[in-house]
Amino acid sequence: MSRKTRIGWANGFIAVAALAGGVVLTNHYAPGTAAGTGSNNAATSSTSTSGSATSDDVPYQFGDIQLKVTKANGKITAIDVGSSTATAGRDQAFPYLVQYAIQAQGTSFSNLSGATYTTDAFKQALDNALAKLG
Amino acid sequence: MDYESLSKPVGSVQGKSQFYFSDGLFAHAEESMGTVFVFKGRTPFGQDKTRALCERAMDILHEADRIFSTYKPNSPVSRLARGETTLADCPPVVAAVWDDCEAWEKITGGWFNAFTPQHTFDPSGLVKTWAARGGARYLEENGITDFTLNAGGDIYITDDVSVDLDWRVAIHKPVSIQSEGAGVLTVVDLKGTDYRAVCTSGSAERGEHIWDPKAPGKESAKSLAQVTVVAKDLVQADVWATAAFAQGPRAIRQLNEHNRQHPQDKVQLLVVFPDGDLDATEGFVGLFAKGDPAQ
Repeated sequence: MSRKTRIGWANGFIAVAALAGGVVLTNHYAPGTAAGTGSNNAATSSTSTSGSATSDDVPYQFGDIQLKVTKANGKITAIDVGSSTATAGRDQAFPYLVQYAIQAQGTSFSNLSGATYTTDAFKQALDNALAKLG
Repeated sequence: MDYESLSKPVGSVQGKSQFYFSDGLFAHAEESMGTVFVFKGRTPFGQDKTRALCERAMDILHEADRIFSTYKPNSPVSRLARGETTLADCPPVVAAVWDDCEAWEKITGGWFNAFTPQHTFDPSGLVKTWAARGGARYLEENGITDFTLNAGGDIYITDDVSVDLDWRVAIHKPVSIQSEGAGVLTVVDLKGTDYRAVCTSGSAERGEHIWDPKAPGKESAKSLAQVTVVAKDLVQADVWATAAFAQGPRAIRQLNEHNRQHPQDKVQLLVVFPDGDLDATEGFVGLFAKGDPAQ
């Protein structure tokens, strides 16, 4: 079925399900694949075997983050998230958490959980999403 | 499973609801409590019976809204807040919810608190999911057992869900769904777990509406952009999400301890800091979705 046919159902189920679920809008809602690639580049682009390298800004979620990769003898020993101001004073108990989250970001899903939205926001989001599909 | 095979609404759109049905597949979207509820899944019944059951499930939500809405000036809870009535004169369900709120306050160590800075009773942090759970149970008790419910961003999955995709829940970025930057933060996959509910709390949609019950003047909770809780029960997930958002990052330690003490009733938490950093309970990592399911 062509994309144009889907869009013609602007008020149809696809619009409703697309927001409540992700069957149609998965690709739109997964800009993070670029971020996934970015972080992989950070890990592999450095050819030195020891020391730290900071990635370019990764367009992750609602802002940019930098991944700082530390290697010792060719093996990655640490991946730190964010600028020094962001993580100052905070436990880095889970440096890989962001990585895991990014890896899962582009996969398909049936429902979308978020802070409770108003009906108007729901309708506006549908309109935005459908406009982008166009 | 192919939701795309549902072509268009059945019959006319009634009021603020839409119902879709095709060959055992159904979806029902309806407004209540100022947000949108979507039931979707598979049904053993025909179109008319399925639709009637969905409408009756939604009646449970409308009734809860009528009683508990703090946006309706004449709801029993609004009148209670103004001192115009007493708990004894309210529908009995108000006292039941009041008792529930007190119990949850204890369980969350005081971080879930249904009393506002103005010292009125505001159970909004629980009523939507409490009523949504009632609506879902109604369907399950009446033979529709293979579906998911999206209650304005809070997700419930039945035990009998028969399609892999329905176990997968995306978590939105901590921005409004209607904003330019809207999109998915990550995806969790609950297949094979005991978890059935995903609730997210944050200020992206309604501003700083969650107060910190332990702050001197009950200031707005600000240390996190958003939290997501995965749990076995929808109300449990919602309450812990509200509590964790109010408490801040230390909620992770509290829930890790809770999970050690209650291994059969674990609650997993993911927090998002304003700068985008993440933290989570120990068991959350295993929930991130992998690859794409066979459809």
